[in-house]
Amino acid sequence: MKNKFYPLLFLPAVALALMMIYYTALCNFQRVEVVVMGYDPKDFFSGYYMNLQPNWDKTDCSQFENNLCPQKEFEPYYNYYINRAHSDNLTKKVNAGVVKLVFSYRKGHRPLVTDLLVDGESYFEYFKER
Amino acid sequence: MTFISLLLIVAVGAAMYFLGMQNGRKMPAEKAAVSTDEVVKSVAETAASEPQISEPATKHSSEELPTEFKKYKVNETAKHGENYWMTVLLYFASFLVGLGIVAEVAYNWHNITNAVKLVGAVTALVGNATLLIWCEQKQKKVLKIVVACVFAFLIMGVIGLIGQVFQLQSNIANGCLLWAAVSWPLLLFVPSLLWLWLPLFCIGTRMYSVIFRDIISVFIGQIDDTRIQQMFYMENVYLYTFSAVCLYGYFIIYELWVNSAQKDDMKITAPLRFYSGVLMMGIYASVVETVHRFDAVAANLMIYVNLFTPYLLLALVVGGLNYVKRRFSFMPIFLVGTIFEALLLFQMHTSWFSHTFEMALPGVFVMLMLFYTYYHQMRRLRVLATLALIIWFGGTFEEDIFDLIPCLMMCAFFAFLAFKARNRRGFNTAVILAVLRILIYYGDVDDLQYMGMYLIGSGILMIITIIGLMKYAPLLWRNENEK
Repeated sequence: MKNKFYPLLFLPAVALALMMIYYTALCNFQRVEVVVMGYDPKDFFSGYYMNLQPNWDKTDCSQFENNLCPQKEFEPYYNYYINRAHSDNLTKKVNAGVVKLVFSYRKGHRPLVTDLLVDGESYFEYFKER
Repeated sequence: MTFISLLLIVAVGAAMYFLGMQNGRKMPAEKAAVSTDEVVKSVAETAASEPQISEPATKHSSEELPTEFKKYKVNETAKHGENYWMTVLLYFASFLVGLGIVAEVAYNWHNITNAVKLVGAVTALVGNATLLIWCEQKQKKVLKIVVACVFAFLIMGVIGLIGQVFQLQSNIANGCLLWAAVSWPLLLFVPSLLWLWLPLFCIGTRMYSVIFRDIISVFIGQIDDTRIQQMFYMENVYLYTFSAVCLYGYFIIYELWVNSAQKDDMKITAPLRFYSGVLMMGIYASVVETVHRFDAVAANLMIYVNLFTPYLLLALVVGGLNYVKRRFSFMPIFLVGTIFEALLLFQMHTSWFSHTFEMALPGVFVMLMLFYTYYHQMRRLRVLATLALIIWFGGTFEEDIFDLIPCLMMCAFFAFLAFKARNRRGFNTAVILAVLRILIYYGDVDDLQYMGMYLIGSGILMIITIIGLMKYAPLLWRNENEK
């Protein structure tokens, strides 16, 4: 009787796969880098993350249209999910002001975080080498 | 995304309703008209087809049973089924496995590339769906529950993984709503999974939200007129309206489900009431904790009104429904919760509670467990149950394993006594308490990776134990009877 419902069980896989494709496409907009400051809280559902706030005073606004930083299009803070092993070192780097968030940005769309840079290098690679 | 999820859920509700109607299932009024003899017959049929934990009333014919006992037993069995508690435990074990999966995802495995993570996640979903179909085809009833429950948590884990990989800034409520929107097909195969679906749906729709800022940002943040934004009381108008609409939707979904459920699915109502109540109380406890953090706000009398008005409204609605139909029984839970939260609020600034306000959440759980024990007429071992609960409660808030062991020993003693007394419910309650205690101990483990591994391991161990108990405990207890 329930045979006709069997395909519905694949709905989660299909829906979430489409969501993955959608966000992968969103990651290919213009790449912009924003200097951030913040700290590292943790919770069970989100795992380990850094709570980062864009520091517009130190950000290079020439990468945006008319050399103006579109602050209103960005959130006041972002959560960046990190590996626990690097959280302490990363906090030090954030406090030193050498950490940048990389966004996939297009005017009119919500900017999507794609990477976290420490001294111009992806944070995981940065700490891996050291 | 939120809007699409809501639309999907409404569509699901309507589809379930029409499916139920097309299959010619009985409406509640018709169900109520079924005679006691028919229920006795159906219970006897169900009991004959399922393994029993203790001596079933259905071993006797309906004529041999005293009237009062017959009514009680028929009522209990119709409500819970003979394996009710074991099924609840099975869900709990699956819940542990699922939480373990979520914790493992949350650990954030940077050594694995995103592409591998995402492809692995989709493969796991497809594999789990295939396994569920296999269980359905092979009529593996117990395994089907486990697989469906793990599937539900796996979906949750994959949603978390997507949020992690793409660094999405969504909150938990949105994740819950998305989960509710994509996981509903599971209900077609394991209807009793509604105990998980419905509360998460309610979190997704922010039904529980009273002072959450998200609601304000959704409704008031859309209005550009600052004069309106500054009108604080407008927030309350929006909040209560939205909460009332969600509550109304909650009852509609509940009614739709009851209408479309088969007779043997009626056992979902008891866990539904219980878990919804627990979750609701838990969320309110979190709200109290939030209030505690904002001293300036806590000093405002309006907060007290904010906290208790929804309670009173809900109590009135439920009371009204009970008066008309005598079907819902949220009322006692609300009343206990209200009293408990009143105590919490008044003790907020005193020394013994102010440092460990996180106690609020497990504290509410304990109160509910205690209440639940009495509510379900566990006559023989009430005193011991209370004692075990108090010890568990006391031991819960210490991180050291030396506080865990006495609590587990107490539960083991309680379980032993219950087993000797052939009190199935008492036995299962003791096991549940032990499991809850262990779970809370895990909560103190700092590393998500190890916590996830422990949870998955314990869950699998528990599933094996429960399946073993379901298979062999009836034989043991039957032997005890014969002696």
